[in-house]
Amino acid sequence: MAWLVVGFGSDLAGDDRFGLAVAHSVAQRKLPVDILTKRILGPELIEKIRGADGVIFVDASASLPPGALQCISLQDSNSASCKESRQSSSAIAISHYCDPLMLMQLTETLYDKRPQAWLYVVGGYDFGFSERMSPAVEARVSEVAEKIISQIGASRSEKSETL
Amino acid sequence: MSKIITIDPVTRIEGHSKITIHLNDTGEVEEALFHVTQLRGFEKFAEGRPFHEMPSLMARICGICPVSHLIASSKACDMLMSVRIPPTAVKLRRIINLAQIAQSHALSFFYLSSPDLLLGMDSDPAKRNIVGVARENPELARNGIHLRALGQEIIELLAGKKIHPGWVVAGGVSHALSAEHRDHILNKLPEAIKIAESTLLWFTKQLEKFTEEISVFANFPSLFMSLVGDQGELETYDGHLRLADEQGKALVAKMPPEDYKSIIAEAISLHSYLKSPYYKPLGYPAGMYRVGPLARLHLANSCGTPKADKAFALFQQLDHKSAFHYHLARLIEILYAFEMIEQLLRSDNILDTHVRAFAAANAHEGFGVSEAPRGTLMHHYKIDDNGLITYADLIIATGHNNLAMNQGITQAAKHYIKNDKLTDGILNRIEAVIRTFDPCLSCSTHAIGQMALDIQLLSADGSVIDRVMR
Repeated sequence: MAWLVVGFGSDLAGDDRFGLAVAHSVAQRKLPVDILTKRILGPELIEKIRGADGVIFVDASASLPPGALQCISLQDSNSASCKESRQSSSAIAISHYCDPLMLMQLTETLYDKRPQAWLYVVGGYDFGFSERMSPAVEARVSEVAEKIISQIGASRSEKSETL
Repeated sequence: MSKIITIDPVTRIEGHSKITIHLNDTGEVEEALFHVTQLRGFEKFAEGRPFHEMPSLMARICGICPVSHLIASSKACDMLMSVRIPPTAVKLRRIINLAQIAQSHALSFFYLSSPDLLLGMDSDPAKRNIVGVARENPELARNGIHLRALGQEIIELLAGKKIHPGWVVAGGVSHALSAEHRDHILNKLPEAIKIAESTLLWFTKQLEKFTEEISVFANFPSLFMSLVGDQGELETYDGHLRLADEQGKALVAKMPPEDYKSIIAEAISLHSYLKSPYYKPLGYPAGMYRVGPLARLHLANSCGTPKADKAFALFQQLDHKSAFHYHLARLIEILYAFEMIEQLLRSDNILDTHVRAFAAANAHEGFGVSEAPRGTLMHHYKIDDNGLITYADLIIATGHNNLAMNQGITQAAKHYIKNDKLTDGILNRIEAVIRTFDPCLSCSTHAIGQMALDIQLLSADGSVIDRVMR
């Protein structure tokens, strides 16, 4: 199973760097996984998404309670959790960048393919100009990285068993 | 009773702006104004910084066209150091600038303007975006995404990252191109060229649907300015400054770009932070001129690549006064960019490792110019004996176009607004005039579709007469 992990946010906006930090943390494990860090999600990302079987987005949100963590499946666009992702994610759908759900919908529309996808999102405390995260948000980095690594590992184990 | 209609924000452009439309006592449009509502201040806070920091600092002006600023700034620094940069570095700078033009034009045409062109100016605003395009014409959306992604990938392969790369430096570029990256890009170019050609074919067939828009989208006589090559061909990196009228009659046939101050002056207006450069001999505002893809192709006598030249022949038959033809010019330049990148990548010494000249400051004044996606970009610096910036003047493409954009929306507003009633389609057309110029008011966030657009028609006493929201 080909995995794509996308951590996104600004590394100059305090807790908004959470997604980038998680992506870097996962990258340190040297797994055979495609890992990207992005400030924003552009439609060009679809070219990567369509080559993956599973996609994990990681973001920080100002609308979730500080420190709260959610993992939202992006499988069914009409599900409550998907709609909620639009509220939780800091990304918004605009002219040249998208939110994760929009990217998955576009991939399906354009390439008739919809990889499994999840959005991990943590509530941030401070999105002001800073290169540091709040302690509570920073503490979530390794936790979320481990969850992602487990998720990827589980899928790889399942595949081995199947084989 | 005079009235003002406000379009705030203008959507599907780069940055924050609004449009106000001023009606006279009889309800007729008197003028429309394009307001850029953000202040950047780069010219001022550059003062006191070491000159060699300028390329990286100035690239931060924009997230869409950082490469253009990087190049103009580096060229100004080359002049401060009084160096002649290695020929391979020139070629590599040309390639990255062309990739920048291709990806930015793809963004403008496919993401920002194709919703109007494909779905119609009067279509549902909620669907008038890239998602709507994907549903209506998946191939068009796929092509746009592919072209933009390739332009960005070329930038990344050359410079290490897609946005704000630091590879272009004073004296050249920081490292050579590898054979592996050259071959990787070369393998991808044929498909991109094919897509650019097919999109050109598709768009030329759409033109007849927009005859009214063509006739009133900033369709008036004006001057045009761009760089041209030694033989008068399309030029995006170096060359001579040329300025001519809508008939092609040259007021400035060939001029060293660093002498720009002899023909260009800058005015300011109270309604906008965007400056209004004008052609000095004609004064302000009669010295209005336009830059960008429409101007470049209007002033060039050829593109210099075979497929783009074929499309250029069609462009030559059109009325260049209409800003609507910026779209076609943009598509031709995408084709040109990929063809020219291929030529440069196949040229001798492209893998040469001597790509940078080193020197300290040897002059007190430097000027750099490039053709950014949106038009001629000028960086002008002065430094003291310690190499610290004492003066910076930047004239950015969108600034050059400011007077023409204002006159353009005034023309469209006068044509479409006939009474106090507003429709979304009318307001979208007025915004679409601005979109043809593809202004870059810095890469700030702004939304389409879901973002509220509130247009109010107000009486002189401030009471709301009509209102359109989306």
